[in-house]
Amino acid sequence: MPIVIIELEDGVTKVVISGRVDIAGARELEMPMAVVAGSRRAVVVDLSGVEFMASLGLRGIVVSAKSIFSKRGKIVLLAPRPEVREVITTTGIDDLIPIFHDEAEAIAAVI
Amino acid sequence: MLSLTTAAEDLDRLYPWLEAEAAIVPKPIRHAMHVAAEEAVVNAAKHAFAPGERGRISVTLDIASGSATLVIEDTGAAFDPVAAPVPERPAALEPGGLGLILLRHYCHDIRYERAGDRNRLILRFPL
Repeated sequence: MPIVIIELEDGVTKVVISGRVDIAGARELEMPMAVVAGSRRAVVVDLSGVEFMASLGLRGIVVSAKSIFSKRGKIVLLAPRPEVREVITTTGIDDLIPIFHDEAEAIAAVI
Repeated sequence: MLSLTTAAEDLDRLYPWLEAEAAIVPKPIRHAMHVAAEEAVVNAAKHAFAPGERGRISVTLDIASGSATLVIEDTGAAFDPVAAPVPERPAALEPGGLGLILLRHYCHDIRYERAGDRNRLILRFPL
């Protein structure tokens, strides 16, 4: 379950997650997400390459978001596939961590 | 049957096992099964056993003509996720409770039984 962290302009960090965020994937995600959440204030999480995500993966993103919000930072989700989007919207998490389908809009939302 | 301990690395075997066992199930239903199974197994590992206690969880899949049924059993303390209260929508960013929302969204036929010293959760998916 690869995770790539890219520093963009204007202090924006893009976290690109891909593959399967199952129980094993959620654990692999924990440490890099904690590092990003602890040190960045403008984060775009690119989910376009995620094939599967359920409650553990979502929980990991929520924990990171809480940390970012506590520093008055912003985090948004970018382009989840329909199956992953359904998991997110079913829980209502998108009310708190917005979903964008266009990268430029996602970046503008966290600056 | 998939037999797991509650060790974190052991739970990793759930997805690959179910993907292989449920290969003939149509993809959207298989996806629902993966989401529900993850929540059921993680819940069992978290709630049914004391911290540090090494418990056992078994998962079986039965595919019949009209339905696929997942049975998750654990040897831990009684915990009924069907009776547990579920928040409608998260009012704040609280990670707890998300899984129960997902479990009930992805599986509409959930039964819980306490069978001797075991929790038994039966998840039925129409095919």
